[in-house]
Amino acid sequence: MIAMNSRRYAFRATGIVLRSMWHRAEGRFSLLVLGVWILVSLVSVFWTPWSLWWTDGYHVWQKPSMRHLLGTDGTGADVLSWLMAGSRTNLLICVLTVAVTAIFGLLLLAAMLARATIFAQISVVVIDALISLPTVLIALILAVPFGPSVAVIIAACGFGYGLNLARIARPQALLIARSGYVESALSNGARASGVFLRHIVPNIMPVLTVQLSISAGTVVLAESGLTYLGIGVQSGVPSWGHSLATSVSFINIYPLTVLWPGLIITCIVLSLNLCGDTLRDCADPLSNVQLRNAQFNSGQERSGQVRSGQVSSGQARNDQLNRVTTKGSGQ
Amino acid sequence: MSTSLNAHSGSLAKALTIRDLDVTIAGHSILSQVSLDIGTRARVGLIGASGSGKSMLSRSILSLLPAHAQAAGSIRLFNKELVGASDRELAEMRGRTVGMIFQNPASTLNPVMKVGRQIALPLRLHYNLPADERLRRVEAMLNRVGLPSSMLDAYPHQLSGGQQQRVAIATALVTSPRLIIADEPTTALDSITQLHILDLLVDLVDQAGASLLFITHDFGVLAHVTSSCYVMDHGRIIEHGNTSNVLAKPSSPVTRRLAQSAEELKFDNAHASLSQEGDNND
Amino acid sequence: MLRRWDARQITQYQNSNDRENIMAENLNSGDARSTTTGTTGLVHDDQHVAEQSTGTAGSTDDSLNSYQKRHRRVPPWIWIVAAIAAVAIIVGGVFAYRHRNSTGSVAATSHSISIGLKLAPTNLDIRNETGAALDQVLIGNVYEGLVARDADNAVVPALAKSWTVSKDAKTYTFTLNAGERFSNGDALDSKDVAWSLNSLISNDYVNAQALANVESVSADGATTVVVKLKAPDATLLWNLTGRAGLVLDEDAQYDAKTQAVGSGPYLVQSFKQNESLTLKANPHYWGSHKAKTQTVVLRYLTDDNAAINALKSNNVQVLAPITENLSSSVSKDGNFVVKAGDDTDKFVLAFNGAGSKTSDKRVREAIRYAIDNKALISSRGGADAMLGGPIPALDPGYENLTKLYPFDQAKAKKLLSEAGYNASKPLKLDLEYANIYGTEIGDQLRSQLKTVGIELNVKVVEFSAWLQDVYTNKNYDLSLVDHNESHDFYTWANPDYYFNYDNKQVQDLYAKAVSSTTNSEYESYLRKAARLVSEDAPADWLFNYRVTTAYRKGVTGFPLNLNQFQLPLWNVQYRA
Repeated sequence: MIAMNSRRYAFRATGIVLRSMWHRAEGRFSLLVLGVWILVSLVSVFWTPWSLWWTDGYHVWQKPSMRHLLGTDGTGADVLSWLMAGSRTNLLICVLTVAVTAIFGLLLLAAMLARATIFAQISVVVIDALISLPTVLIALILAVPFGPSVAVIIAACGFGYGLNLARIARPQALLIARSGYVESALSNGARASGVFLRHIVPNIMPVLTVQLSISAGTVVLAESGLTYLGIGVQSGVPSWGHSLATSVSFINIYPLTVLWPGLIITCIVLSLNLCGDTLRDCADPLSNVQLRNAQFNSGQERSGQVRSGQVSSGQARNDQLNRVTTKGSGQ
Repeated sequence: MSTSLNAHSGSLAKALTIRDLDVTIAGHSILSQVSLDIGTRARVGLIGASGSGKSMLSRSILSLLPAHAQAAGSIRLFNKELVGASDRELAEMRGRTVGMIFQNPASTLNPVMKVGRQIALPLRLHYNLPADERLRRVEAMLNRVGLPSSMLDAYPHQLSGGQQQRVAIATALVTSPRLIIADEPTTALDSITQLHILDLLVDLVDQAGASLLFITHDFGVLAHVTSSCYVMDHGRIIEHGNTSNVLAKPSSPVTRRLAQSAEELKFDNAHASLSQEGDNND
Repeated sequence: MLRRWDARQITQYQNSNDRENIMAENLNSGDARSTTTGTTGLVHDDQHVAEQSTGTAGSTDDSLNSYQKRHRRVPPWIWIVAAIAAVAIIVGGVFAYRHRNSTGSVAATSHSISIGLKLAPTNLDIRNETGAALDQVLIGNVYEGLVARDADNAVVPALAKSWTVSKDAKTYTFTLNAGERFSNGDALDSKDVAWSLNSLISNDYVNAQALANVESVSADGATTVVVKLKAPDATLLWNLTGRAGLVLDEDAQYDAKTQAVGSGPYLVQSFKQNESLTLKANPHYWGSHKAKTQTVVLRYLTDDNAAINALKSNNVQVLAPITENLSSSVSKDGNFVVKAGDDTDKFVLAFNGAGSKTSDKRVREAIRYAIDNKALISSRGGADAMLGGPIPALDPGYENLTKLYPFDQAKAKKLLSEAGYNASKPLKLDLEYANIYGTEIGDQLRSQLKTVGIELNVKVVEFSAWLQDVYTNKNYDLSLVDHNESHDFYTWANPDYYFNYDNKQVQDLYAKAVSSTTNSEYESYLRKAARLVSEDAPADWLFNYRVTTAYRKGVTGFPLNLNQFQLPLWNVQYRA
């Protein structure tokens, strides 16, 4: 019963968040772009206009035509098919990098908030030192023993962005760690891990949301950069970075083949960043009135005591209060 | 208030016994030679001006002091020594045996956690209840502090200050701890709301049969809630005894000054009792 | 103050009343135009009051409100004009700059020419520094050998005007031209030749192994040099066209890393590492290849697009090589000529002879049948030539072997099923090659082999990784390298080479070829050996890369063939 309720709330809340994002122009744009991205990724698993293995040495660098909607590349392969298939690689990289960033960043953040002050101080210094390592360098170092692969991109970027996340979230997390409600939670017997997960993390969600969405956008860029440098996705694995890298040296002659992946990457990065911003505003119960009210109302449905909202519940409350007051003052 | 006994009578089982407690932070003495007793089902006050060390004392009971604070002496909670106890033992005590209510309700509630979850937190931490049973208790507790069940799904910022403090009280009392420490729970509230909250607190503590350590800087409030009290100044206990005696014949200038301000408050209290308005304006 | 404010309020009230009255009157009279004029007139009369009544005053203090800043609205067309002006200035500036730039360099080209090259030498020490980039610019320009190569890779006279070979092919007697001089003015005679060759051998300088068969080199008089061999060596003369045959001045003192003293038509004026090498006509030049252009600047342009831009903006007049696929942007422009020259580069897709799967000849043959070499060449722009065996057209022993393994997918599939591979058990192979060759070839091979049921896993790696995995450890299935050397058939006769190709017959034929005493004998042995190698299918020779050169119209005398090995520039001229 409770589980069902909470699941229903989760669905309802997600719906409200998406709806309020949809009502903003930038939110609608990012939802549309990201939706198409996911859709294309799914479709590409089962179908692309041409097989990825198709090459035709006699028809390289073709202009867009009915046969090849976006033309062909330097091997005669269909650009559209490779871009479609690339979208699923990039989606995978994006999702996994965000997950790694979140987990790694929060672990670091927890270390920096440790009650053992020496440990916390050391981790601050270590993070400040590591953050100066560029992501590209980390990827290069990782690519030496493991070779270029999707995992290297995810590991390097997750590592770099995790450090960044921890450092950016730290001031706010420190404030929260010293707040009244954390003290209250401690006085109620909460352990450090519980305080971190139940109180600190939910309260730095706005920062987390924005940072993670920036990470998601940046990793799309990083993928193309690293692939161009030859330490990203392995040859033969479709990705936007692969499409870009194979055509970028011909930009003077065949600018269109560079335009498509470039356009897609720009669109995706833009909408990921916009998505982060709108999500921060729309998913925050403190700033999204609709979300807050909807949950408030669903509570009413369950209790069935109060019909509508705070103001009209005043009478019932007063009755109860009066009862208590009478009792108290009688002593 | 039948159970209010002189805390030093000693024959009854003690809820809390503090002996010669010294607390230093970075070399500065915060509390020195503090001794204090609270009997079971007793409501004991701790009064002092701001900065006298009252809050430090309340926090030191459950080792909620800053990490670099050092405590020496003895704190016995239901015959369990707390000075030098492990973190795990202390965490088990907090919220289960001892409930705390803090001064500023606005900051003691997590802004992104719904009221229902806040109140359920100590239950969740200390008791393995089935979810529906937990919800039932939380809802009952919420109703007992005079709030409608609909507020389970409200966020703290949707509540007034008085309602927030009611939620804080519900959180502290939902596990029915044997000792409640209330650290100036009404200072942030207006005087009418203050009275309601105090009465509610006293009522709930007595119903539960718990002991209460009530910390305030306000004799008027103290007289309303407690029968015996300790007066604190500069980290020391300077006076203790029956609240009305201390109020009537203060032996130190500090106590005298606090008592005077309590006289002024009496007028307000009388006023408030006459008015039958609820705290819907809070 | 208060009274004034009150007074104003009253005025304002009256004014608004007035306005209402006027409006009412106008409405009554039904004349819309007079309504407008009436209201406007009122605002003009007392603008301040009108403002207050519409609520724009920011402060309740009137004395302050009267100081309110009035933001003048800039009409939108001003921004458009400004934007157009800014664009015009930028475009004009760029055009002016370009114009100045191009006229400036055209005026200066009568005595000089700039040539864009790709690979830069580390320094100019031709005896100690390896690398084809050094041979390319110094041999034939600054240094000269006893003999030289012509445009078809054949041996022609240089410092030696003629030579004779003894019957047993063990003694070569060279006769030098008269009056030969180094660029420092010193005379060049047979003693310099003997010293150069002997010191190369004794100090084991770069390319000394090319003279491994030489027993002695001695001067016989001022113009005769006698070279004695331990055994006949048909490759000797061609070897002497390279570094092994260069003649240096024993007495000259100079820093070999930044300078060069030779007998060629040019001398080194300046060398800037990775940037440029400037050659100047040698005033002491003795021979017939006198430099036609006074100054030649060789610029090193590693980035393909930057190189093309340099060509288009006339910073260089010649670009060699230009990537075939990129050249279309230049060839469309009527000011340029783009031409491909013959070369000896062989793109070799080697199959590991000792590999677990590739040791099966049927597998190797299947791969050869499955590869559509024409499609590969077409995708690269179509300039490259088909190549069916280890010897390219410019090398001795060439024979057209492209018919041995034509593109035939059915045959490939048949061979694969004979070897025990099918759809449920596909043949899986790794292809490892260095990233300098780009990903396109690997992508196409994977696609072509996929069609016959071979799953090719392409690993494009750093060159150093390829050296480690393939060249040194021979741990690979398939490997791709551009073997650009000329006269390099010996690699197939060496069982320790990374090909892991071990065929006694081939090794014997090659030994016979090397020790043959006549050219025709040498070539016929090589031809037989090459056919044997190709039939064994230890590799697929994907194509014979032909070097593409682009130059501005007006440039003449620039060698197109083999210009990445030796680039004699004496004949180059530019008439703008």
